[in-house]
Amino acid sequence: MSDRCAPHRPYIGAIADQELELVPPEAREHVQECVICRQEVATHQLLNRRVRSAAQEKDPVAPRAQRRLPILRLPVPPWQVPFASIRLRLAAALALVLIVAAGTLVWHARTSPDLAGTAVSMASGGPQLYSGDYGQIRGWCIRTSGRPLPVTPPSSLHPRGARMDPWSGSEAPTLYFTTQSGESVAITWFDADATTAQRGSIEAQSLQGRTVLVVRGQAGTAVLSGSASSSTLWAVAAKLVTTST
Amino acid sequence: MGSTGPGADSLSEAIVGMRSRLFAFACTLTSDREEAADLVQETLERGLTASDRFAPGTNLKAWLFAILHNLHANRRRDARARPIAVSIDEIGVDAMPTDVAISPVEQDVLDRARLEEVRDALRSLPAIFALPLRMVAVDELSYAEVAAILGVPPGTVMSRIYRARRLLLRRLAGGRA
Repeated sequence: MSDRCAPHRPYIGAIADQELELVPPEAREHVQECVICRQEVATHQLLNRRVRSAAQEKDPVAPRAQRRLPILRLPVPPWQVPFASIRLRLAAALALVLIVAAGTLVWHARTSPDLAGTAVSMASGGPQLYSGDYGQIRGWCIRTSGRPLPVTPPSSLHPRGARMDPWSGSEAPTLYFTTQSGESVAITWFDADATTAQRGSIEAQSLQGRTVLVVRGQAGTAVLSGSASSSTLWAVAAKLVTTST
Repeated sequence: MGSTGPGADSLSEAIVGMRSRLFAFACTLTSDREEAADLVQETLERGLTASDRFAPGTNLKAWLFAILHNLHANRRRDARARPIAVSIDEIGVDAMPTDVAISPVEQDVLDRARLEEVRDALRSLPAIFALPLRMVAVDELSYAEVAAILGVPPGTVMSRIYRARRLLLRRLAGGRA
């Protein structure tokens, strides 16, 4: 190890990160010529990559207990091979058809604009119950649908009422709110099971020139509509997706 | 309130899409998942309602990180808690010489370390070091952006990142270096 390296070593990290504006020319020149320092630059870069992988990915080396044991294959008698093979191929083809069909249905359920359109249509019916008391609204929804509401709405919204509409063999509640600036927000909840909701997502659609947001989370799918500005709807959607995932 | 239209929607979508990155940043900042989730929520709300103030073409991630960092700093100030800045003397890192080369043992440990070990070592670093390293290595922010977010000079960012990596290597080596 050379003593010549010591004064330049604090800049090695910046060189590794290509932040050369912070590095004096003499340090740059030294690192270019010095094998030891170049090795250190490479180590800093490797460390960056490993930190990035550790933060973003799962460890590819599974713990020993989680590793699968190899499956032992017994020899198949020759007279069974063709029949077994045909059966297997038929089963695989059937499974493929079922998977494609199920996937198509799920894709339609998740991406169909009907959900947003249905919600907007429901919300346009207006409240069946008028109340500024969220507790009262919640109680009414439970009595009417037999189920609790999935998520408590943001406290920045003032409740105005609710309605209940039949949807897919169940009841879909629509809750009406006003914002502090007097804009209206309607949140229509669809059942979690019926929409196969998983990870949180927000999808924006435009219906009749207005933004409608479809918010998917573990608690279910909510459709946000109303006269409120797009940014207000997004803020509410962000709240819902955060609290329901 | 805020802007409307398709452009605003795509910006809003991009803001909400930053949720997981913001959460990781907030976790490093607070070491508390509940507090981190709360901070992310407030950051998203601030970001969405102030999206018309975001300058197109600039770094959205850095803008949101700055909002989150400021919110965190304000909360700490409001709570009259001690600020996040911790003296390097206090955490004993100053004893670590920075003019010593990376040892072959440290190099070897880094080559062999499992990602889980790297993750644990990163979590064990004080936030003052872990934050800038994470922002550069994971979130791909520049030193200048990190400096602006944390409110420190770029030279300090450089020094903290260098120390963070040395400390990380030392933790991975577990005293073998």
